[in-house]
Amino acid sequence: MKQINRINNLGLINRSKLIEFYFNDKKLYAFEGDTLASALLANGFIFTSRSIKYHRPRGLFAHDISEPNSIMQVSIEDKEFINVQATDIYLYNNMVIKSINHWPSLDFDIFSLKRIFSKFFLPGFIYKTFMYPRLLWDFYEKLIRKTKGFGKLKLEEDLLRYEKKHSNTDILIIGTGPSAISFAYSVLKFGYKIIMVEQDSIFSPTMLDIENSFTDDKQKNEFSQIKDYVLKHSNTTILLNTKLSSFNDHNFSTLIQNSSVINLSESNYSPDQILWKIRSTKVVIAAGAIERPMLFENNDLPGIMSSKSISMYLNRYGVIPGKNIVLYTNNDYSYQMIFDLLKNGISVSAVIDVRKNINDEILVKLQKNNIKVILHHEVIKAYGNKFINKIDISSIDKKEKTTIKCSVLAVSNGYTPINQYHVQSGGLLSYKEEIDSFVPIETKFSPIHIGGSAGIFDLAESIKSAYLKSLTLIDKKMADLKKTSELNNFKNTNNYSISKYLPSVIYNMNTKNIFVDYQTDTSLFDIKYAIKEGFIFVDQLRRYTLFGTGIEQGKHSNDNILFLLADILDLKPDQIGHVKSRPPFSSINFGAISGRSNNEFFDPIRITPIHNWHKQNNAIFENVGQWKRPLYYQKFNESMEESVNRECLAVRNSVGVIDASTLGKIEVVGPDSIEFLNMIYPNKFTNMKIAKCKYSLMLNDEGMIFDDGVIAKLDENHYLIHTTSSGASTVLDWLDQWLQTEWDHFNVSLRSVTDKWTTISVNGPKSRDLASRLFENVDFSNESFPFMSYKETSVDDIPIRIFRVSFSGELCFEINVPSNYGQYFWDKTFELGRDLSIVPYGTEAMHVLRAEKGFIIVGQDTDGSVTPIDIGAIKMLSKSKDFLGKRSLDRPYFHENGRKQLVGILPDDFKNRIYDGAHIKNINDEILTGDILGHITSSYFSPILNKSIALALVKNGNAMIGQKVLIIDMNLNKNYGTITKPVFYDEKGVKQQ
Amino acid sequence: MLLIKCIFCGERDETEFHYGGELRDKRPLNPNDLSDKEWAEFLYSKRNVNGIHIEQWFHSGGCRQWFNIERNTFTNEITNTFNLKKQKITREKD
Ligand SMILES: [Zn+2]
Repeated sequence: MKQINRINNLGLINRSKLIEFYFNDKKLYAFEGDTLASALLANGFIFTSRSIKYHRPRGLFAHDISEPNSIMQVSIEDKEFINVQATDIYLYNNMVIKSINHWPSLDFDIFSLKRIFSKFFLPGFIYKTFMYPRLLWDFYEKLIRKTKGFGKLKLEEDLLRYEKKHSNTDILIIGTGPSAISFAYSVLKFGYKIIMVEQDSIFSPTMLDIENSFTDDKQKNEFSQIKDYVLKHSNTTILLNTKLSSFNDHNFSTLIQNSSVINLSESNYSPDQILWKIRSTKVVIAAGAIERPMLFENNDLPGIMSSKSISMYLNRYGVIPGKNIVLYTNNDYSYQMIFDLLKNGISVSAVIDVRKNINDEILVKLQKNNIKVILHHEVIKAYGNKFINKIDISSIDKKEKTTIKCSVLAVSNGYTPINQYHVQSGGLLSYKEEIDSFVPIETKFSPIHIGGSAGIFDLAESIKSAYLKSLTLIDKKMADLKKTSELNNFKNTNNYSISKYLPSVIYNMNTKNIFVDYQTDTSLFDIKYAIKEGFIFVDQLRRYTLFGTGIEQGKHSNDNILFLLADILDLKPDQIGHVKSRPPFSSINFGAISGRSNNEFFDPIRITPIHNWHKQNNAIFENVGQWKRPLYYQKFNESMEESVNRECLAVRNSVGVIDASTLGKIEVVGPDSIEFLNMIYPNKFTNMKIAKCKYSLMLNDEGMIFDDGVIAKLDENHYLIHTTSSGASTVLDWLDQWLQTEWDHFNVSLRSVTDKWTTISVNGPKSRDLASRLFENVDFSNESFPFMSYKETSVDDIPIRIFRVSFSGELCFEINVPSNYGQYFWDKTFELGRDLSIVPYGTEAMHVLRAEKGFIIVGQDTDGSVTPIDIGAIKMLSKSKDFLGKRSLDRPYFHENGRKQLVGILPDDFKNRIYDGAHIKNINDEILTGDILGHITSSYFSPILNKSIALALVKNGNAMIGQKVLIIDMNLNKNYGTITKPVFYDEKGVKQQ
Repeated sequence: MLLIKCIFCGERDETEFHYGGELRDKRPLNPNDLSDKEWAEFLYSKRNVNGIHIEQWFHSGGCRQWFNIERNTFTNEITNTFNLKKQKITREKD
């Protein structure tokens, strides 16, 4: 149970609670509050993973979301976490952790041997070599895939629980470090509400030890006071375990919060991960900066770590990575690690600094502790098999080589401020030489950056400057007064420096072993290679070499690569641009994005009042927009085809009923209704009589069909227009737009009444008989109730609307009853129709019946490029008035030869239907691909005709009636058929009359 | 995601709205007086400004009213919001 790298009594972990976990099948122990990373480090696992391309041994480099190496596959009971950074997930009892990119095991990995596959991984190699001949690619792809990729996707359902939360605040502060606290303190005093976001599970983990952070007592006291003020203020909300994922327009932010406890019990429904959407008036980025790695040969060996991360593992978790620690740096800030170690009685063996001079105070302290400081030297190569064990160093001017032994090499090559959120939102950066970093150029649209994220690395200065920056949010006079009133003890007295460093001998080294991006295994060789091939723009270079495209998105590597690029091209860093980061900032689960919008919650489901009856009668449903509609009703062991045939024949021979409640219904009311409808529809409504119905297409102003339906005149200035089932809301929006934005002088109101009425559509030769039984007081005779007319009646004061229209080609009455009575009248219809062999039918039979009659379905037989002229409805277009689409349809092009026209097709093989979408070609066109005349839009087997039929859009189709054509389906099968008029049954329309 | 101030309901998330494109010229009263070219120009040509322009929005998930906003297409800053009556005045100036 011993954790060999754990130091007693340090850090904020719960040492009373021991946790068991498994790493690559080995049982280990750690404490509650540990991350996977700190737990592995505590147990002496420096070597944690293998790299993606070359399968080189890699270890923990960082402590936070910039960790490039330790990508793990984690499972706990049935819950699975794929491609998580070991630094980004807390440890739980019985967690099973597996490292990735190795086979058969982490210690012995076949693919790492002699870099067998190394030539596969040159930038662009795949594009250049394997694409031709095409056949070989299939072979190579399998081989390459085996060596590439991160974790394994679990194919079962993701059992993690996700939730979304919305919130708003005045100021959203990302980070809880010293500058964040100072900023928060100030804006709370102005009366603002704040949300502070911390990715760790504790508030302000970098300021755990206030006692030792400040040398000055006044600073210590004042900071303690403002921290307490912030923590206790009622306007402060703190989100722990949370990361800002994206910063968007108008200060809209998305954040990911991991639950502090992974819920394993079925009864507890609290989420594992929450996606926050927060709108604020300002976002403040106080997320610090990321320490960059040094460049030398084998700079990726396990044991080489960020100096700042060593401090964090020590202070936060009580863990040290090893005994013999050497620091290799280019700046004064990184020496903090040595002082943190010294405080706990741990010394470092040596310091190698690339600079000629370092800060005097630091030098004195080091000498006092007998720490060897080697100035103006650089590390040129590290050695070790699976762990670092020694380094070669060389003086920068004399090139004398010495060797130093070490087990841990702490490195610091300066710091990259967190500027990704700023860049995400289109912000620009400028290079600041004194800190060797890019800092945001803020505008009024970008976030405010403070502390390390603004390139201010000194503790006291970051506290004061954050305070000063908060004053830009208030009135200038007030701000001037406040400038000197508080936090005056915080001044930068250190004068720490950073000096830009690129290895002086770098180009003579084996650049294949100098890794500039650990996660994607991009070496300096790759960068030079790509530049030589001409990829000199940052984002080109990135795509070609793939640096910065891994899970941590190049947080540790981007700047180093920019500096190298600038150096190779002999330009200044700000002359080459920077990487364009995009959200999310760190990887997030797809599950978090979808949240609970899954399965039945993915989209609202709309059902009609008859839905339960449909279910009880074995309806097989299909989705029509959000609606569930019966596709057919299965009887006994019928196949779908048998059911559909039975339903079709019942409608043609006796009586069939379809639930048509889903048809969109919009009431148009007002004195200008006629004029409005005259503009909206191509038909003319001026002389329409009350209680009459008209079928019309709906066109856009380009003249294309986008919906259709029957319009009934219920009364003077009162119309009911029907839309397609899926087009109802689009049509309502469309009508609203014209009424409000163009024709606001029309006095017309619209009301959607789709849900108000249940539509029982009674079709077939016996439908008159049935309707008469249902409503005995209504005269259903042809004289009294002719085709395309409307009647109202009532039963016990329940209003009933009956339309005599037809979409089946049969005698039909569409009976509309208020939805609350829908089931009652539906049942009554079936009761009264029993001796008429009444049958319910679904949408598939409806489609067959309408196709037999050549009635179109908008969106199936039309596709947004089809005009009324193309479908033979030119008579519908009024010549005596303007309407939407008229001017466009007047253009000669729409009347010329060459457009596709709606026709029927009778396949030679009359027993089998042709696939929808099959291509139509000239009969003697032998080439299967290439130009086509058109395609099949609808295709069915017609039981009444006992043969297959189809509708198609064919170039100059009307002129080709009677001609044979070649039809090629998606399986490249050849069929033949004859072009006909687009009507197959009862051409004169006798039956529906 | 934009924060849009509906002139009737106040500030709401963009998801409640439908975009209606940039404010175009009023549909001609007699389209047949226009040549094919002029009609196509009216129908298809957009100004596509890089900078401040006026566009239409529909509060489809709210009051179902159309209104106009003035937005900088480069920065996405919304500088003005007005109702449809005001839009006519702007159009005439155009
Ligand atoms: Zn509104």
